Amino acid sequence: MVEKKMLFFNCPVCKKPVVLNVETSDFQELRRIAIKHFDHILLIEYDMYATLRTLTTFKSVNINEGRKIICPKCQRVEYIPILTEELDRYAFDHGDHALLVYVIFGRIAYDIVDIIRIGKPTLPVKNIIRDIVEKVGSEYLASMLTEIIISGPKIIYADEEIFHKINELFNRIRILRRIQIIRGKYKIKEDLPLAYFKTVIEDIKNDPEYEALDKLNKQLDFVEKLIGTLEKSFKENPFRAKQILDSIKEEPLKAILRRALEEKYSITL
Amino acid sequence: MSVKAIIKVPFIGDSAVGKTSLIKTFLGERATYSTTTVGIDIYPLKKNNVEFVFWDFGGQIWFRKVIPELMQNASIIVAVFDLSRINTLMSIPEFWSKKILEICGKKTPVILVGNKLDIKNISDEIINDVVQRLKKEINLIDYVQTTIKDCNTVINLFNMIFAIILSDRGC
Repeated sequence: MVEKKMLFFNCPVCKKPVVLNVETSDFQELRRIAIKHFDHILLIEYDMYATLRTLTTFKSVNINEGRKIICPKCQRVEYIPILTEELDRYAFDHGDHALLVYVIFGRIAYDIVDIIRIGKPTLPVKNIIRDIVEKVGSEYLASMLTEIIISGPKIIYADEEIFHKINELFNRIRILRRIQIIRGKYKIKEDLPLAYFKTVIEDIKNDPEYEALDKLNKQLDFVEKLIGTLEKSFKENPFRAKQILDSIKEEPLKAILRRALEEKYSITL
Repeated sequence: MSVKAIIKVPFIGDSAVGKTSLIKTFLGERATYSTTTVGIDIYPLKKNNVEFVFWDFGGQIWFRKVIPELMQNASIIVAVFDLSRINTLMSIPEFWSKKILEICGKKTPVILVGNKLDIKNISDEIINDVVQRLKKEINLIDYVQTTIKDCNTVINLFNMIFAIILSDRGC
């Protein structure tokens, strides 16, 4: 069944938001498309769920001498500099397709993919996470997220001034949908390890809203899954669980995992 | 019988190169090419009194900040690319081998895997150049080609992993 979905990301070259309406269906392999974004070209690969899998940037050049390249599809002649990096990428817009040129330790490889053009930023500058942070601070939201991940409360209080925004945000995040929000004074849990989610919130609060929500979704899924993995590993082999935890260098993340294991499963690692 | 040791085997590489499919095919689980791994998945397997733990790393760019760190203390690393997507091969010397050096050092053995052999369209000359370069930069033990459409290629890969580790441990 063909479905229309939105795909969004920040362009790694010019940092402007890119939003694409893509059609998804039951295709198994990745869809690949080149995007002419202002004066640069990107290659994106996405799957049947419109999840962006890879994003690659290419250099654009317009020179009349150098290493000659002939497009295998339209036979148009292009040139890339003779002196390139050992690993380098160039892209050329050939109307209905892009010629992608890979320089790999002196050898050349080609990719031909369909191309679309985007010339102006299309996203309204809106982000519910930034709205919340501006009203109550990132520590407030970090406290809620950390508490939910660590203790799994069924109910959480949200102050009147932010109640609707919190409600809206929680409805849009898979893990948070199960939480009932009640109007009331929310007390920041200063005894919890808040640093991890504080950094996450600071990182995403200026992204386009779709991207910020997507990242928050993934981040919460990631932490919840790690806790599950550690708990399962601990039951099977405590040494393996310790090995997994020891592999995590990021102390703020480790602190959340340790605390969640203690509170949820009485496991000390 | 108690387990002597835990051997950590991270599978790394770009998104959708088939890391999960390789592991699941070997373990006899149903594999598809269509879903993305969120963060990491862990698959333990006991063999010759040694516990192998296959770490399946999510390859999405977004996870690249956190995930590579989890490679540390790896006993052997399996770096996978897609034989039908040249960009995934280029990522190996451009990103992943640098992370291997930075996090695991030069001694950790690495197997390079070209997956999706059934739809291969990258020339052997280019692959060979990358292999030769990687041999100078990291401890690349071997390069193998696999496809889940031929289980023998997958079994060969895992047998190679077991052989390297078990012979090293005198098992």
